[in-house]
Amino acid sequence: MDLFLPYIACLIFSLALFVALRPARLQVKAVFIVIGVAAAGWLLGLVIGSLSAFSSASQGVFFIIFSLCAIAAALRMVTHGKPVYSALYFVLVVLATAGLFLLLEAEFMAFALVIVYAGAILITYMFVLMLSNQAADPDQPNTQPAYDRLPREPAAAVGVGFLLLCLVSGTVIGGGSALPENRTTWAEWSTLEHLEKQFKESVLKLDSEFAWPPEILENGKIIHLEGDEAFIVSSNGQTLVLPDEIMPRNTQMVGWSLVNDFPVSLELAGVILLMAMFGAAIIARRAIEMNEQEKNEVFGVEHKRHES
Amino acid sequence: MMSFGALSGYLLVSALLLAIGLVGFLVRRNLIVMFLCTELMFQGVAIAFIAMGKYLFDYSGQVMVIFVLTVAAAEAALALALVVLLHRQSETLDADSFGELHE
Amino acid sequence: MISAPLIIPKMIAMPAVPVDQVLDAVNLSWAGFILWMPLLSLVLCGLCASFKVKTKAPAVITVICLATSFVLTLFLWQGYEQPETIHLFDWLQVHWANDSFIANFALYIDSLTLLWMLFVTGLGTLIAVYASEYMEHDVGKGYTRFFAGVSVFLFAMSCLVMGDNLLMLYLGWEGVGFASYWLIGYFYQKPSAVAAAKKAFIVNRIGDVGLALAIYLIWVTFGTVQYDEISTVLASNSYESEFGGWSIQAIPYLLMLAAFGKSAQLPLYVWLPDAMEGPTPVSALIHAATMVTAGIYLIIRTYPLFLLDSHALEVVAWVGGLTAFFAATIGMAQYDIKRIMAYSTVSQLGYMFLGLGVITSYGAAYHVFTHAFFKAVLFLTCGAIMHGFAGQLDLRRLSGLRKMRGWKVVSYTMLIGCLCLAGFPFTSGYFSKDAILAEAFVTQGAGFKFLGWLAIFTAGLTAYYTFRVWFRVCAGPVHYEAGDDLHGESPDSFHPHAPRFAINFVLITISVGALLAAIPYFMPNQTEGLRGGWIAEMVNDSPASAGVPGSSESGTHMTHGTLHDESATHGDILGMNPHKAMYYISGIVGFIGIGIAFYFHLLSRTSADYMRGKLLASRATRWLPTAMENKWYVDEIYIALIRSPLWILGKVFSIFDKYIIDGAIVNGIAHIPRGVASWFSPLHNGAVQSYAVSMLGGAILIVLLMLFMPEIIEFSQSLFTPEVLDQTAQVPGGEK
Repeated sequence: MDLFLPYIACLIFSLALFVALRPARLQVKAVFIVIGVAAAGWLLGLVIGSLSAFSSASQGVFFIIFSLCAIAAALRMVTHGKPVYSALYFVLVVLATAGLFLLLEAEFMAFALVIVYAGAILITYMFVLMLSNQAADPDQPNTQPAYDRLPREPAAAVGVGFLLLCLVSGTVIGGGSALPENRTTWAEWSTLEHLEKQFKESVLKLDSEFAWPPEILENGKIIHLEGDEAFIVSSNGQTLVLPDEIMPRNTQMVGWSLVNDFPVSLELAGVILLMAMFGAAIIARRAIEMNEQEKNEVFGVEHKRHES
Repeated sequence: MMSFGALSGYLLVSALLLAIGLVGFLVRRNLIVMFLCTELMFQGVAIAFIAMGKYLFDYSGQVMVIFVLTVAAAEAALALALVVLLHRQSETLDADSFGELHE
Repeated sequence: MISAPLIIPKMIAMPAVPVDQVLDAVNLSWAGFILWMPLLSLVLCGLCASFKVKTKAPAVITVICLATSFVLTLFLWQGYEQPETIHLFDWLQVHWANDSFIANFALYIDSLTLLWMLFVTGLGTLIAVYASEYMEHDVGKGYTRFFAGVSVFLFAMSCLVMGDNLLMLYLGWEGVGFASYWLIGYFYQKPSAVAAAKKAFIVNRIGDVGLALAIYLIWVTFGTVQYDEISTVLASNSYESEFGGWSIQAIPYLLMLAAFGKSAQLPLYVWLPDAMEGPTPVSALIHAATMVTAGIYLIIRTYPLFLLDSHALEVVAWVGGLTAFFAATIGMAQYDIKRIMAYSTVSQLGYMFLGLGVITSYGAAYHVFTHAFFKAVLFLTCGAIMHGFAGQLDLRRLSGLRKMRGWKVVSYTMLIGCLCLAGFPFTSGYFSKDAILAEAFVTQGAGFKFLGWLAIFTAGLTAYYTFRVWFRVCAGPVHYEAGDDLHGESPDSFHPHAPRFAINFVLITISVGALLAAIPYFMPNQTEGLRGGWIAEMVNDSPASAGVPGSSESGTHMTHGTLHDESATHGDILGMNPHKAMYYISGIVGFIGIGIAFYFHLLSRTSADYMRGKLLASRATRWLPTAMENKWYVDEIYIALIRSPLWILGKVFSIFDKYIIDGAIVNGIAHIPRGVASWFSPLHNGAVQSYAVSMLGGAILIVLLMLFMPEIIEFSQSLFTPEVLDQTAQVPGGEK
């Protein structure tokens, strides 16, 4: 029976979503969204096991809050009849996701997400929505266009979603044995080795009498790792334990990784953005109607030559 | 050091957002809301990347999310340009009304 | 193989001329021109047709070529001493390891060949002259086609008669069949003519199957298809009967089948009356004088093979006799004079087969010879009547022709023909028929005596119906009605146009020939012991000499002579010697027949109708005249028994082909891709989201597959090798 609990949770969630998708009054929809959120929370609980999975209890609490918020907002976004509200609920999702990123110690990504998504992409969506929205009659609140109110084959879609959820939850539960064992904080220390100036400054700040440069190990690295501790050995035999505080920050790590490991992709991303700019400008260009005379005035050299 | 339980939680959140975005994409007929749902799917994917990156102490996950962000922005720009064009042509945002490429 | 009832004379050893002893080929290779002249005429007629010649030139060409053939035949006959082979060119030579099949284009000239060729080419020339005037209505329209057909026919007939092997005979056989088809269907716009042509060809085909199989069996048994070599093998008894012994016995029956088809005997005679749809010269030449005698020629040529099986000749005799009687009864009740003559031909052919069956090939050959002349005369006079009276052939509507100006020649030549046909004493037909009738009583065979009496009765019927025609048409008060072929004249102001020089000349010539054909009977025989005159001489020098009375070549026919002497086994008629008594009996029967015809059709014609009315009125006898008039419903029986089932079968197959093969299988297979496509076409509905659903469904399936790949492999392996569940089998995809 324990084996099926996650699937039952998925099923409840899917059914709640299915009902919530159909056009109904707000209260009904809200009830089912709450049911859906509850089912999602249960599922999360099953998957996580116990709060002790997190490094601290507050992390677990914040995780639950942010994730349920994201799910609730996502559900409401999908089931709301008015597109502008969908966009706004999406902003809420983005914020909740940013929170989750913060929990994962990816500060740069969290704020990049907020800036780019909520600040740029969704603004663009809002513009287009405003431009093209067919406003409902304010007197009658439920006269939105049909394509906004009525879902399109919700059964097939919810079924597919259910399958996906079952797959992932089935995989995730107890799947940890397949992941690689070797996990260390080596990435940060090796980046620190490359940031020579910062390295030196922080080492000297720790111990001003350290003999720089330190000794280089046979594998080309400077920092030794033993268990959880990192230390360096100076040229005259002095050992210095490096505390965790001098590790590079997340932003530095991301920047270094981006430039060192993915330079070509970086350039290509730039090219993609350029192309998108051009493309959007060209696609949305409005064709101007010109008659023959105007065309002649603009391009008219050949015609005059022909006449004379 | 993140435990596998926490990772599972993050992955499940990612899957939930992905599933909800998927359902929304398949269900909604308004073109713009459809694209919004794809953006929701991107969110889920982003969470998954970063969680896995944190678990494996590999910053490629975050770099990947940068690229995801980039592509999402580019795609949003182009998609919205196309939607504007379509709207100009036929005054509706209904996806089902653009069905000329059929058997 | 020899049974008691029919005592077969001992096999003759015909000294065959070895092929390498051909007499000075240079001397006789001109004989090939007998064949090439009709062929040349065909080619020239073809040229006339392509140049759209509108004169009587094709007739002139044909007559000249055929006359040349006839003259060359006369030369051959004059210089004839013994059988010879004239090699023209190599035709078919196939060699295997142990066997070979050789059929060269060579001529085998013996006296039988010459006999046949004389009347074939002679009558051919005369009838071509006749046709040049008869067909004048068609000059420019079908004239050339007619003479081309006649040329083809004569070429094929010459091949048939003069060939030195069975394959050339077969070539000629098929060729005359084709020419007959072509010429019967001459008036191709008439559906009845077309149907008659098809019928002739198809019924002949049934016989041709027999001939082809017989040739094969002969080759398999004797190793050769050349006549002289067959005779050698037969004489030396070195043949082997294949297929468990029945091949030797089957050969005569198959040959018989072919002869019955070509010569219109029961049950394959139905094509000959319908063949009267062709122009009359065609009827005269092909269906009276020459083509229909091809069957008899075949049997005479292969006579030694018939003598091998004791029952074959009995079958031939019975079929011939019954056909003669049967056809005579039908002829008595017809009104179309050409039809009457057609049935008469069938009947007389029956006589010839009867003659062959009672082992008088001399009688059969003589009857062939005389019949050719008088039947040709009869047909040609009918044709002249048809030509002059715009197609009128009903004897109820013509009368007293001999009193009309310009028709005397026709009437009196017809009288001569009728006298010969009826067997009036001292006409040629009298002697030839007597030879056959007498032999029926001489030879011992199953029921031959009954056949003999039946044949005599039939002779009486023959006399009756022949003179019925003559008394009705040529005698009595003058009366005529125009037929349907009015050529633009109106029926009221119709004048019959009498035949002119060409027709009259030919009629006179042939009727004189018919009268003169009696003379050979009286000619003395050079060969010792032979009786029967010139014809017997001619037949004696051929493989069929067993049937020549008194022939005594190295032990041949001894038994015949013995039969004559031993009264214990000698047949007799009413206690008298058949040969002598037959003169009187047939004469008396002939007179009775002529007398009855005289009464009913000249003296008091109404009494004929009265008699018929009486017969029809009484229920017991009503069937007799009705059946006879309707040809004993034979055609209808054939349609019911053979044609309709085949037609229904054809319909069934056509429906099967149309609905099952074309419809279900071919079109059905064609519909499968369309059907399958229509299952999948709802997937292409142009809606992006439905595409997305399908994509996702597929993606999830693939993921599931990949996840559960080890279990799937295990399961499928357990299906095939249930006893070996290899837990350690290498599974791709790794663990989950």
